[in-house]
Amino acid sequence: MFILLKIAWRNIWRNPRRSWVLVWAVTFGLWMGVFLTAFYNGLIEQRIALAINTESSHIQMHHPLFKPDYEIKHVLPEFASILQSLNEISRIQSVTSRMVIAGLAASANGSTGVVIQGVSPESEHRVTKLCQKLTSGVCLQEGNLHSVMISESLAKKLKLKTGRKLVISFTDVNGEINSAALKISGLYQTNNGPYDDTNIFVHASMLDTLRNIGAKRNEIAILLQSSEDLNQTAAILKKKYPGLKTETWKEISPELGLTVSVGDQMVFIFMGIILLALVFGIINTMMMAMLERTREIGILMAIGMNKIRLFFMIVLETSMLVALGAPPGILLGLSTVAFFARKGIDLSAYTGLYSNFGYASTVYPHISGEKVVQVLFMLVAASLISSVFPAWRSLRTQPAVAIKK
Amino acid sequence: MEDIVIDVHQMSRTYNPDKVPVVALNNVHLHIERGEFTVVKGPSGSGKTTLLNLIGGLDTPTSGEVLIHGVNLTSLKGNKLVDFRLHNIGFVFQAYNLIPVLTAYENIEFILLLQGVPQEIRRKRVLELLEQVQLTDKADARPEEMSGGQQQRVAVARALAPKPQFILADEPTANLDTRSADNLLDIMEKLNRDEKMTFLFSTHDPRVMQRARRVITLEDGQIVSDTSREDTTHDSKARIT
Ligand SMILES: Nc1ncnc2c1ncn2[C@@H]1O[C@H](COP(=O)(O)OP(=O)(O)O)[C@@H](O)[C@H]1O
Ligand SMILES: [Mg+2]
Repeated sequence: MFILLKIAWRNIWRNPRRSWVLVWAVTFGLWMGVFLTAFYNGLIEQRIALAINTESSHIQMHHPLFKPDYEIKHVLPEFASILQSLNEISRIQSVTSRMVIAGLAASANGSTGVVIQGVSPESEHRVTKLCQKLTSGVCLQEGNLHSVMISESLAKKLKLKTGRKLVISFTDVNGEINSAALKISGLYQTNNGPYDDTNIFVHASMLDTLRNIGAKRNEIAILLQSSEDLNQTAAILKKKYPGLKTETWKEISPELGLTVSVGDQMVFIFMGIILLALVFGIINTMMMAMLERTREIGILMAIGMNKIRLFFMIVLETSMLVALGAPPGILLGLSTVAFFARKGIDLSAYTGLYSNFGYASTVYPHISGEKVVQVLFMLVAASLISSVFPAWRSLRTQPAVAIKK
Repeated sequence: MEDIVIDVHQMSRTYNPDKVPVVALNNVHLHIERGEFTVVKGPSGSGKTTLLNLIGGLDTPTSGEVLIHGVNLTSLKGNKLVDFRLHNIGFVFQAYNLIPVLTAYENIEFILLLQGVPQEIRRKRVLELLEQVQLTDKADARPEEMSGGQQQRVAVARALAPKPQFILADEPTANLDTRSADNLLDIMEKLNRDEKMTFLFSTHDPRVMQRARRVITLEDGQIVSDTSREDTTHDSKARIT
C-alpha cells in the first residue's frame, strides 16, 4: 500500500538526526564489512599466491609411495619424458623436477637435519623464483656443481656465511651414506621461517654424480598459467599418468587450505561484531521511536489499521533507512578497496611476527562481487530481523491504554 | 422494530482485578438508537472514557456485553475487531487525533484507503467531507499547521468518512476555546441532522451538555440519570433504560 510507504517515509524525517545516525550506522557497517572482507581476502590470497609461486607450485607429481619423509627409493620413472610432454601442455607455464632427500647439514659449528632440494636451477627459478629469494651471494649456477644455497637463518644457526663449506650427507637406498662438501654460493630468505630453517638447495645433477646411479628425480612441480585451471589440469594429469600421484597445492599443503578457512572465519567474526552493533542500534532506535509514538499507534489501531499493516509500516521504516544507508556504504567500501588495491596497505610496522609465517607485509585488499553481495545480504537480513522486534512490540499496543498517554 | 445501534447489556469493567481493583463501570445498561445525539456527562473519573472505549471495542468488559447493530463485540478478536471498527465505528478523541505526518486531506483519505475505496470515489468523498467540516482551504495543511479546533474538525471528518454506524467522541471539546467548541458542535449537529449520523460523546462541560438531546449522567461507574429533551426537528426517540 502506497500510503504506508508515504507514512513510513515521512515518519523517518520526524527525527532527522536519529534517522541519519541509523543511516550512517548502516553505511559505516557496510563500508567496514566490505573493506575488512576485502582486506582479509587480500591477505589470504596473497599468502596463497606467495606459497604457490615460491613453494608448492600449483601441482606436484610424485611416485605413488612417495611420502613426506622422502624415502629415497620412490623416484619417478622416466621423468625426462614426462617433463617433455608436460612442457607441451599450453595451460602449464613452467615445469621443473627435483630430487628431494632428507639429510643432514653440518659445519664446524654443528649439524642439523635438513631437506636437501636437488634442483635444476634454471627451471626451478622459472617455477619457484629460486634466485629471487637470494639475499646475498649468487644463485646456484650450472657451471659450479658443488655449490649450495642455504637460508640466512640456517647460516646463523650453523655460524656460516657465503663462501664457506657445508657438508651434506644422506643415507642411500642400500644403506650407504653419501656425503659431499659444498661451497655456500648464496643465502636466501623467504617469509616462511619454518621453511627457511629446513630447506637447502643443491644441484640435482650433483646428487646424480654423487650417487653414480644415473639421473633420478622424485618430484615434479608445475606452475600453471592461471590458478583457475587448477582442478581441470590436475584431472587431466591424473588421467594421463595413472601410475603417478598428482596433487594440487591444496592437497600438498593442507595448512594453506586451513589458512583460507581461518580467514573466512575471521571475516565472519568481524561481520558478526559489526552486525551485532548494528542490530542493537536499530532495535534501540526503533524502540525509542515507537515508544514516542505510542499514542499515535494506539489511534491508528483504534481507527482501523490492522496489525499486519502496522507491522509492515514499521518494518518499512527500517528498510528505508537501510536502503538509504546501503548504497553509500557499498560505494565507500568498494572505493576504499579500490584505493588500497592500488596503493597497498603497508603493515610492515605490525607484521614482524606474521611475515615469519608467510604473510606479505603489504596487503592488497580484494573482494569479489559475490562476496560484496554476501556482505550486503547479511547486513540487510540483520537489519530486517532487528526491525521485527520493535514492530512486534508495537503490535501489543492496547489502543485504550495508548490513547491515554 | 426500533433501530438500536448500540446495546450495552449489564456491563462492568474492573481495572486491576488482581491488585487494587478499581470498578470503573458497574452494571451499565444502555441503548442508543440510530440518529441520536447523546452526551455522557459526569465528573472526572466517573467512567465516561471507560464506557466509550468499551462501546468502541477498544477495551473488553469484565462482564456483560456490547452489541453493535446486533454484533457482539466480545466475540470479535484481533484483526476482525480492527476491521469491524474500521467499517462501523468513527472515533474522535480528546486531542491529537490525527497522524502528524499526513495532511488534512490525507488523514481523511487514509481511512478510505484502509477500506480499499477506489481513487475516484475517495477523492470525491474527501473533498465533500472537507467541505462539510468547512476546511476545504486546509486540505494540504499538516496537523501542526492547524488550530486545535480545525484538527478536531478533521478528526470528525475522518470519523465520518467510512459512513460508520455511529461516531464516538470522548470529550472532543475539552481542549478547545468556547468559539471552536461551538463551531465543532454546530458541525456535529448539522451532520446529525442532515446525514442522520448517530453521535455519542462525553463531556463535563455544561455548555456542551445543553446541545445534546439526550443526557446520560455517570457517577462512580453507574448511570444515575438518563434524560431526553423533546426535539421537534428530529424523530429520534430517547428512552430511559
Ligand atoms: N487503565 C486503568 N487502570 C486503572 N484504573 C483506571 C484505568 N483507566 C481508568 N481507571 C480508573 O477508572 C475510573 C474511571 O476512569 P475514566 O473512565 O477514565 O473516567 P472519566 O473518563 O469519566 O474521567 C477512574 O477511577 C480511573 O482512575
Ligand atoms: Mg475521560
